Amino acid sequence: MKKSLHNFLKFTNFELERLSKFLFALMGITFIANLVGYIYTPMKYMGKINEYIAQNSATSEQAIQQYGPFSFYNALNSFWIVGPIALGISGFIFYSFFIWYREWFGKNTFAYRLLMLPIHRMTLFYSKLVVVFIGIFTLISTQMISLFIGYPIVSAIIENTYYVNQSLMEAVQLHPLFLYLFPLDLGFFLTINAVGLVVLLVLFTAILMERSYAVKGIVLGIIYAVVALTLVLLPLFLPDLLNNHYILYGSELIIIEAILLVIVAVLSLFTSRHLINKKITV
Amino acid sequence: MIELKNVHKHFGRKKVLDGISFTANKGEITCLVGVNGVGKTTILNAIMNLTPIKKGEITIDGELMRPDLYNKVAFIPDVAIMLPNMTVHEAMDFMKDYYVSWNCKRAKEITRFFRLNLTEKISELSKGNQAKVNLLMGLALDVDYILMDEPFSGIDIFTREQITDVFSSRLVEDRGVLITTHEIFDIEHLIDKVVLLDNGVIYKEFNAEEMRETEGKSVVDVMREAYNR
Repeated sequence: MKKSLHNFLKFTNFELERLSKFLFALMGITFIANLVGYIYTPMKYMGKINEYIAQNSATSEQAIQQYGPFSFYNALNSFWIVGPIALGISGFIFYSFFIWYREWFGKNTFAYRLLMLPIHRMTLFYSKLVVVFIGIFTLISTQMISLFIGYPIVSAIIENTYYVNQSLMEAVQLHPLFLYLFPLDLGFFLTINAVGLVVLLVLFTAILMERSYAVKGIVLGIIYAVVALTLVLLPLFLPDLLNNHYILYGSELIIIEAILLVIVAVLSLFTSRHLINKKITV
Repeated sequence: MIELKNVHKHFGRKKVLDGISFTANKGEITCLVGVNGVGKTTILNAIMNLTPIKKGEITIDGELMRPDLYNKVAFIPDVAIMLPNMTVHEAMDFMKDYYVSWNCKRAKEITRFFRLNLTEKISELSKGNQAKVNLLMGLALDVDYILMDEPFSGIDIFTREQITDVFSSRLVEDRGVLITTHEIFDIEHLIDKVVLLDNGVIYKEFNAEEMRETEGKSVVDVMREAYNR
């Protein structure tokens, strides 16, 4: 047990080192783009206000009527903030595939070495899973740090007359994307992360199916992913699908969601274990 | 002893191995020979649990393959298997980190023998030197068995000589070696046992020296006989 944990930590560290360049690049882009957004978006707004006032000899009130007031939420809604989130999401979807396929394709076939390591092969699986999660959380943290830096910058650039004083938490909770990135409710936070974890488990299982059964594996993987993800995501979207004509209470939906998450997670883990130990091919 | 019992393997509808059974013993060099696509590499991959078999059993000293047995059997494939951006030294450190059977003293000895530059990145090495790194990663392990897949493929004559020297050196002494090669002339005099494959089955299993002495035939003569039937 102790040895397995040691191997897991050692391999996770190795995988983290391999992720580092990609992660630092994403963190850099996120941080710089956010900083630009927190400076450029309010300055652009103030520029428009000043121009409007100068050209029309208008009052501040008239300018507000024309362009509306500015809150931190407006800064969050800009391309500079939303763009890096989209980039991060697509980056980690790509990396979830890349973390496996790079071992087979590319200059050298590192899959040989990995599969011949004297450690349980599921250690490789768990390490890759944890590394993707660490990467996602690190990127979210970067976004969070830039939020704290950006908040005073925005309020300093926008003149009080035009600024709607909104707390950071309020702005985050209003934003549909940030609501998922920084859920303030513990239950919601756990649900979001559990769903994320299971989605990743399903994806890894589908990849192992393809690595084990080639073309047949692609078909199998797609069918498995569609069925498993439908099961897992259905309770979350059920109220919307039924136009909020609830047939179940919220608490009942959460219990069903939790059961489905556990079933799909266990099934994915067992399938992956079987494939990586007995079916995978170099 | 590495033992294959009635091993079957299919690639789609194509039958590659059709009930293969043989043993490779410790202290012997066993050579798998046959034309391209006959299933030599597949056998080595199957022994290392790198590809599943349809039927049959493969054991190493009576045990089915499990993770800790990778400290007992090493496989040297004919492709580069360490990360290209690693230096030779980093690759050695990686092996040391994971294999209790990694022998640092022997690793240094082999790097000297092959004149490998430890600070050079694997991707920057010539094909011959990459093959030497592959050999280093396998030979520096204190294992009982070494499997080698086409160690001479695409390698110049001098490197080939160096690799041939490995077979007669103490780097492989007492170990069981299972090798596949087309360049049979280079090592024919060193081989103890030959397993000749044809159409998914073993056409003949023989001792190379005995065959030479009793029937006056080389390994290639027996191969010709098999494929000209």
